[in-house]
Amino acid sequence: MITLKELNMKQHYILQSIITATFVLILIFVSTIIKGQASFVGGLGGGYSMVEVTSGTTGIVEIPANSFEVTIFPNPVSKNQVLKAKINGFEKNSKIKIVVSDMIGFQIFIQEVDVASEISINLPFEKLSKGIYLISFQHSKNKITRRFSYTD
Amino acid sequence: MNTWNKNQEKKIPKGYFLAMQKAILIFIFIYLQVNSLLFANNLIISNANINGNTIELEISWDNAWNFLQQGGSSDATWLFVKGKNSSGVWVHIDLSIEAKNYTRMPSLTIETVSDGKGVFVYGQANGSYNITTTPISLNSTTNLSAFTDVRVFAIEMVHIPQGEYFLGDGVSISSLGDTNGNPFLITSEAAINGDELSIINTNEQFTPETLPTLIPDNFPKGYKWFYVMKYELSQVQYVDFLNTLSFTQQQKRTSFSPTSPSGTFAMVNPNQPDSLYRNGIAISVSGSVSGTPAIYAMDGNANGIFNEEDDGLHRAANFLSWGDLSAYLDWAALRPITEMEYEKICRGEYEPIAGEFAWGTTMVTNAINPINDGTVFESVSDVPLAGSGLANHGNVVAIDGWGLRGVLRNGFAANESTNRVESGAAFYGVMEMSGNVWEYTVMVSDEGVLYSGTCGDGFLDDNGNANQPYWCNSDSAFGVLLKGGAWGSTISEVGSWRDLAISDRFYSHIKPTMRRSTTGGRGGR
Repeated sequence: MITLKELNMKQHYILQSIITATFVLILIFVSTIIKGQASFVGGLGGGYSMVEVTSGTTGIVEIPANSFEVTIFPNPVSKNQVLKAKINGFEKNSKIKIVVSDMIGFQIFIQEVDVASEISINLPFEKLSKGIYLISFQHSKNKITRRFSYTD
Repeated sequence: MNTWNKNQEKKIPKGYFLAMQKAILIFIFIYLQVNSLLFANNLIISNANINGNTIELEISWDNAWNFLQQGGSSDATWLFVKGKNSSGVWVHIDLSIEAKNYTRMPSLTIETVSDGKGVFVYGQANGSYNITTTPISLNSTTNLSAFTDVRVFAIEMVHIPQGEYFLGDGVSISSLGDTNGNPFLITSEAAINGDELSIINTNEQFTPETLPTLIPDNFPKGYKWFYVMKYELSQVQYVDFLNTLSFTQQQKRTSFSPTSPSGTFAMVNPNQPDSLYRNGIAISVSGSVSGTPAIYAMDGNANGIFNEEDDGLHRAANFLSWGDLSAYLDWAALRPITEMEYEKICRGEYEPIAGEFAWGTTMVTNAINPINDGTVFESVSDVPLAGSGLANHGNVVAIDGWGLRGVLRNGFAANESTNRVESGAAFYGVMEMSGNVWEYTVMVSDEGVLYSGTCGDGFLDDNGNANQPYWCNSDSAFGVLLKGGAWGSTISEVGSWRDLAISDRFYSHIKPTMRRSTTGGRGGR
């Protein structure tokens, strides 16, 4: 067992300093707990946050029942392929608005077409790079969003 | 034990000072490591997804604490959910009241509430620490596929533990006390006869509101535990609230028609539209006379570009009437706090000090020189004098002329090393109870004591008013008391004009119906 006498002076002072520092640290920590039993530090923001769970962040928010349904294919879609959508539950002689956007919501492509059971969508491949995109179909008051991936 | 003399000093080795430097550096490193855990609040909920009736999301915030085991306080987050139905109407989405229906990591506790209007989330472990990004799920009792848009809201709260406290400080204007003029010890939630209380140092300029004959047992007295918002209601919170209201409700809860042009500051005095007092709540997209609601956003720097980093999102919301605050609280399924709860939050377990402020001393340093203005880091360059709390008060400074003239960010005075006094915090860590904005509380008065602490249900009436039974009337504000002073409050000697003092009730004669540049508040549950 090593005693203090066996330590040279340098080691003694280092040890003494560490013990003192540790003691002060414990005192600060204990005093933090004792004073009011709460924390009084801070520095950023204001204790509030909100998150929107929209089609843009979920990828999918289902539309109400008795509305229309969309299936897209092929998925993934690659360059020069035609993306198609099968649509059920639409009103005849109506229009459907198609919007393609990236995952942060930037709109790349907007098209309004006559609604049909199957729609062909000619994607602007020159504006796409490999990745995940959102495609929304707005029909009457309903909107449905699907996610697709594009590979070069 | 070591003893020191001159001979020993001569024997100090050459490497001593280097060794000392190393030890000090180690100490500073360890100290910073510990304190970095306590650096900021930074509440964030993110990555929300809907999976059936469940909302999966991630939550994180810094500087959390849990001292419940020691009989102390903890902080927590109140989470609630709104959904836009197929008719375009936003409704409150109830959550399961069965804790077993929630999934969460062991580091978090999810506390359900009996009315299912939301949940509290807090750290499981004892002590102070950061809540790192942690997945949780919220279990809805409603079919979420019925909604075209769903939003989750998170508000940082503080758990105020059950316990005795003193009401009144014995000297402040129109303060409450016993019949001998001393502070009154609250020992339970039991009813209190009016003749047990008296008004001390009665306001000589304006006759104070008279005391009720009885404070019933169901009037919240602050003895029993409750939650309170850690901060005053912020401007971005109010914006998010407005953006879920109908056109008619928006019209009631703002100062200008929702059809006003984009860029119109929505809350300020219509007769002084350019006097913003650092309120940046603005119309982003105008509503239409056909009833389409407006979209609101923040433009605190008034440059016409919305929701920039320096647009003052987290500044306290001023220009709120009682009707505005009570509507927000009903919508958020919270409730107003009473003036008795206000004093409990501030004073905690300590005995009263005559004329004390929320941080427990009688001295204050005015915060009037903002830095990082409008950002999430907004603070001030002013340094509190020894024994002083740092608070935003006093628009006129004798030497410097006009001061800040407006509100500051919630929690502006707290930094990585502040203590209670320096950060201007109340006993349990609640911020800005003195200064920044006046806060609406329910008064110990005939109209006020009808209030029984009923929580909001998440729904307003069609006109945009709170519609909870026995909440003080939205338009008349009978039974409402302003507490804590604001950015426009001057401070006189103890027992005199002293708006920021915990026990001051100078304005008990006022029915605070107006949107003032200095009024806002917070809620509890």
